[in-house]
Amino acid sequence: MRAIAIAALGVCAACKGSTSGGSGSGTASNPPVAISDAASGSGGSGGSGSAGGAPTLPALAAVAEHPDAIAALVATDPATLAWDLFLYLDWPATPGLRGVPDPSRTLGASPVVWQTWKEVHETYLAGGAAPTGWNDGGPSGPPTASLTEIDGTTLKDVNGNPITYTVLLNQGTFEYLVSRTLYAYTGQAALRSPGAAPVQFPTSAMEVKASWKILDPIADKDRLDHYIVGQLLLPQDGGGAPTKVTVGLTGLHITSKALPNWIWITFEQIENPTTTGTKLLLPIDPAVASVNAAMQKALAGTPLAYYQLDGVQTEYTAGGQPTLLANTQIETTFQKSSSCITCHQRASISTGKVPRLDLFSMKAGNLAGYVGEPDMTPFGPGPNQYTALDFVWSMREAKQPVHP
Amino acid sequence: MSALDRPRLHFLGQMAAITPTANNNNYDLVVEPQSVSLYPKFAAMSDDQFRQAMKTLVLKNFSIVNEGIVEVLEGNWNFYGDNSVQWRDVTITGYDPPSGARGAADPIVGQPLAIFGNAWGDTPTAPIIVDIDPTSDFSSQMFLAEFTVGSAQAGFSATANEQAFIPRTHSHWLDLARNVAMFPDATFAATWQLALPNDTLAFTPGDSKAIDALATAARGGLGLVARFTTYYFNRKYTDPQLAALYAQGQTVQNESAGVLYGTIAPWLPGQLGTVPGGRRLNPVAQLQNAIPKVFVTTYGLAPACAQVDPSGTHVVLDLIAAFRDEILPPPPLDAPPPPATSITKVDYGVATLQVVDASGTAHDIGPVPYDQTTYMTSGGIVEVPIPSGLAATIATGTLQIVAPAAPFAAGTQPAPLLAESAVVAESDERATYVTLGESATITVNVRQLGAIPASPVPVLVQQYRSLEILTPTTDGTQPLPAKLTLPVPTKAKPVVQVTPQGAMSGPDGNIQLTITGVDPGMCILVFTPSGDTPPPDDLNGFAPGWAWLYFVHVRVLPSDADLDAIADADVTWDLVYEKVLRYYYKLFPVMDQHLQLNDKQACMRGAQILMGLTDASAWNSTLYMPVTRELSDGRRRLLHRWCQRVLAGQET
Repeated sequence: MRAIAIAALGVCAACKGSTSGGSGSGTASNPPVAISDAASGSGGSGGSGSAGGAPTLPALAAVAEHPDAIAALVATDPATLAWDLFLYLDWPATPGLRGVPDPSRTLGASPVVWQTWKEVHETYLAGGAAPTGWNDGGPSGPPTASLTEIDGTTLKDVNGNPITYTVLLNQGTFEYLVSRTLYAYTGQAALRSPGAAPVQFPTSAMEVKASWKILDPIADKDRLDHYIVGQLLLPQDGGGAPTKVTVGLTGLHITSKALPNWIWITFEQIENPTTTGTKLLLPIDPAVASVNAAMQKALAGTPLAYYQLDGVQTEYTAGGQPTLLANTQIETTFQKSSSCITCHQRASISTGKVPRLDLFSMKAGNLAGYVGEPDMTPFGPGPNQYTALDFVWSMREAKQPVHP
Repeated sequence: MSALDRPRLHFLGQMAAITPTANNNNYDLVVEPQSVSLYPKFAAMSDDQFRQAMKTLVLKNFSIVNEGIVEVLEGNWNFYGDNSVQWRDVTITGYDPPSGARGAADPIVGQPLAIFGNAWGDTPTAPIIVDIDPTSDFSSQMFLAEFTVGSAQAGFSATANEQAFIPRTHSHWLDLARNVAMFPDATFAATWQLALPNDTLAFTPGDSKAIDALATAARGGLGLVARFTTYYFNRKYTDPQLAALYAQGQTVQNESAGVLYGTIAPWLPGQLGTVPGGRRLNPVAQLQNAIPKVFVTTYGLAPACAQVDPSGTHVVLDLIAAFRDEILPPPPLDAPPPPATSITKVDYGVATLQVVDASGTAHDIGPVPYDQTTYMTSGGIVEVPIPSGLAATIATGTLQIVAPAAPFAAGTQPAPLLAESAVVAESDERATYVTLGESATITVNVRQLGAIPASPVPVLVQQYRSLEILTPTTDGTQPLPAKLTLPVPTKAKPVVQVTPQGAMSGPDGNIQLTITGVDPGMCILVFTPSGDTPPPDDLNGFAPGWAWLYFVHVRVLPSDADLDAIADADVTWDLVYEKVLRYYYKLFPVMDQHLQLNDKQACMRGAQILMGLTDASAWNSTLYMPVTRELSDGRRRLLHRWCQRVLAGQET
């Protein structure tokens, strides 16, 4: 597997089709995403009527619904894989169902597929209670957002509003958690028992982490249709009732278990420098930038044309150097020490003194993310050692039973 | 010997300090530092009431400093301070090569100098300044992680790393009369010395012979030192201006900015890193301030250092702190700091360096230039040629600087401005924190005429406890706290047990003291070499001159071990907020920008970071929390237990 976080990437098959008269053919394991000549449905909203050139759902599903296809494509053309997953997951969802795209609608409408996945607050319930099943009719309401990044900082947009965050799990991830009672802290603690089976999610497992900007109808009036939109409950100072806000997607991490160490992908909205005052500090590989340009052209007229792939990561190192991947909205202040794969490798549980491994190091007094090859020494059966959680840090949200 | 040795680079610029002041409050008794809590009047206030009170103007009686009734903010001049320090527009102004004429041309001259704190992710934070003793004006310390000179093409940097950190630098010779025309901040000055160990240094000489020479000198010793002075500070806003901004809902920071200049030089073996080195000349003459109705009426100079250069041809003087300044007429209190070149020195007439031989006869060595231009271009370093035949006398006699035409204070006899104290007893352990019942070691470095004493020298160790008291007034105004530094045990309870209480210097010129915390609080330990006059009984706050004594600060923190007895199930948010976080939430509103310490959900989200930043292993980092470094071990453990419960998914 080559290192591809910021390495040279192949050109997207879909874009070849788009830019060269539909001649892209792909490989057997890399079916090209067809580009239709006209709007392909009538159920969409928010610009779908002008979605000429948008990829078709069947073509996207041929990759996104098949872990083997994901694994194969990321090995040869990670940018294409990333865009295929992004578009599939951002396909409008079938009402009342979780994680099912609606073939009758076109790109640009919402809620989209991943917005109907299980949000962490629906999964890791108070007292470690069991969550409702996957087929529970879909989200009962907007999720409650988190106001901070993982380093504890809060990013504010130019309107002075906080960027907020949600984390959602797909069916493969959620049902594995349920099957092993890992939604509860006690279930995770049981992993420390001798002979406990290691955590190993199915290859179908996926997870997303989204960052959101509150859309101000006045201040943002010129770009309201530039976002995947959603609604969130915003926590209030002092514990008051959360308020419902309409938000636009500024960033999206996508991770897939199609590879043993997962595949790490991140997209962000291209106007973030203007609207959130951030700057991407890791260069986008020219090949990725080329794919981005082609896809943005193909998606013109939809909100998705306002997003870019920042990069894809599947290896800890490349050429002896740590691979890096960051999103200005999610790793704002520590982009240069952001390695999704290394950080998530530290997802862990201990029944010793400190329940989780730390997310940041304080080497030489500096706060920095973990990068490069992982340190395996904390893992083991010792009383203050840890059991790996197969890269899923959201499991730290699990709660213990409440004792009266 | 440090700044007295060549090669040297001199630098000039500005420094701004953005210290918080509610905890370091000269206007009221807010923080009770012995127990690290608020005084009852403020502890009883709700969080909102306290914060509002700190932003309220009150009438205070400043008669203690001859200033009458003044309207000031209860929270002092910078409630929203964040402890940061900034060096601005600092550039290299001169180069003294290893030998030959001073002021040699070199491409490093004109290049920038910068300091940084530790990095939070991609971004270096600011260095920080914090007092070990919040009641004291004499105990400031700066933490930094990086010191850079020049550019990637030519320059050097000192950077904290996994093998070595940059030691704290401490204020020395806090000077209440540097600028005899001004008050309040602009009259103060401090001298600092920053040690840059070899393990932190990296040099890129490029086309700079100066950097190459510094690299060679550093590698031949322990590294480099940067000795500098800070003075003529003015606040951006007056208290009434700040109150008006607070009333508009603004949370502005009120920086205090002033003049900075100094010298980079080798740090040689056997020398202290954080104390200006060399023979010590201390002030003798009392001088009269000619400017009427100002804070400073009579005063002395501040200390100077000296040594004979290796060639034996010059006496090198470090006058960076010594001579006084004035700007007339004084600019407004809220004016930005003036250009250093516009500051003038008080005229003392011709100053002459002399040596006094064993018979008491003074011999002229040569004139001592002390004009502002000399100061600015040389970092206060002066080289005085040695006349033939005086070298042996200088080696055994004592140095002094005389100025017969100086304005001596009425009723005093003309005396040397500065005269050498034969024995100096200083320590790099200038500020030591110790937990109640625990011990630490302080090494006192004893030097006689700049060298290891030929025979053991007795040094007396005396302990003074720092306290503040408030004496009610009868005129309806609110009094200012009086700062007391009381001798132990006659007038105050000991803070530490010192072993031994007096000692002889060893063959290496050092004395090892063991201190054990016996009562929470702050104290200074004064070292008086045999032959010197012991300090007076009371070293009260603004008493002139005691800043020149040889002393170190010690703070004994409560252990709060009783908190360990609380069962895990009872370590709730309410408990940890009341016992640990509320104190900081009230005093340091700037934290709201980073972590709302009164918000349970925010602290739960930040639990892992909270543990990392408050861990004792991060103590030398500028990111360490709390910046004030008075979190007891017991409270730290309690906070960490709560964080661990959060990470374990427990309801708190």
